[in-house]
Amino acid sequence: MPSHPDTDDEMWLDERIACHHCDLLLMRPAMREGQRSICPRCHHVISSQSTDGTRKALAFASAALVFIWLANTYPFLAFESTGLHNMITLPAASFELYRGGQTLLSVFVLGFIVIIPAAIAVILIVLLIALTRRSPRSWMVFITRLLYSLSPWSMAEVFIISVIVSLVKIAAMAEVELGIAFWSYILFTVCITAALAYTDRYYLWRMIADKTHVRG
Amino acid sequence: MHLNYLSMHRCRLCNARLHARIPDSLNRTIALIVTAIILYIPANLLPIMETTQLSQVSLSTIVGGVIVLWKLESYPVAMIIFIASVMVPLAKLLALSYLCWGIATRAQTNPRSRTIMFRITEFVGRWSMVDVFVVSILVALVQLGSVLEIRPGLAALAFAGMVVVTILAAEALDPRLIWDAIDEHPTDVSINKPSDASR
Repeated sequence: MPSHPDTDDEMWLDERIACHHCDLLLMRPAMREGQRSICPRCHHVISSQSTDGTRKALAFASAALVFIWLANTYPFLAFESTGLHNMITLPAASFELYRGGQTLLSVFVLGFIVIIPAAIAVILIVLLIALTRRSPRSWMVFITRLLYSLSPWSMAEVFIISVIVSLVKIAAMAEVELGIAFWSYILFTVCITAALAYTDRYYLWRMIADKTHVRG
Repeated sequence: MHLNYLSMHRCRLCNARLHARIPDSLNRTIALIVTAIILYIPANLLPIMETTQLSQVSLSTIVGGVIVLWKLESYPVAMIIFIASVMVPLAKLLALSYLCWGIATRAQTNPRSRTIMFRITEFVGRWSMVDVFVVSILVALVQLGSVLEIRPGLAALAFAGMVVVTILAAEALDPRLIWDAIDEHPTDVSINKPSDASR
């Protein structure tokens, strides 16, 4: 264990954790499989994972990456009205905004529905592989922090609801066909949600601490 | 209890700068709420979509779109858009303002329900993007030259900006501030005792 001259070891007891939502000092929870630990004061979920979910998470994240690739290359929706036909891919949803003069909005949309969700899948794969081998701590720390700063901005599931709403909106004036990419995108959302569910934040940081021999 | 000296230290595990509370949490949250309120005005007044059908241009606002869907008897979709685009942003701004007011006045009441309110606010924020995504899908899909064309309106940008700002506002707000007023005057000693978190 590396020694830290500027910190009082009393402060870094392994067994304590402060609740992220109300700052109540808690003992490190002892959990059995399938249990969650919840702050007794504000009911914040401290940790929802007691066993190593790395392998499952890696499987789901890899599947997610394949599905997002399919979702971007195959036709997403096809539209037919009065003999006129139009087919779009997923990136087109953003690209047509750019052509319509809304550059900033198109960047937002592309980021929220394609780039950030795909980046999360890639980061998860890199991180989970890094955890199984001797990777430098700075690298694991960097990608883990990146993962949790990006995750609030992934809006894949919101986009699926938007597609369904759009279908209803234009169902009256045209016939719409769902493409392979649409179904791939749904499967992508399921897989990325599952992968994130198996990478509990508290458990993940504890794993990194154990791998790199840091206490606290 | 102020732990300002902490900011000189960094986390031994992840190297993040330590802070007892998010710095300037209340001020930053209030500033972002005001920004969101300002953006909410053009988001609702300007057209979100411009439909050109056989060289006839029609503009539609968010509320206008809901009314059209309601008249077309697409009740579930009208409800989804109304809740996601009108109710949720408004409720979110009200909730954040209420939480800031409670923190500023050091309110002692219902800290747990206010924390739950914070968590709901944090969770629902992204769902307001539904209408922006609907516009981007329709703009891309409905491109039939002079017969039928849909173009994005300025409200879409204002609305997306508002959603982004409210998400930032929820991230800037530190829920632990809600509990600071209670921790300063502990009325119930048992609730402040460190205890086992496992259930």
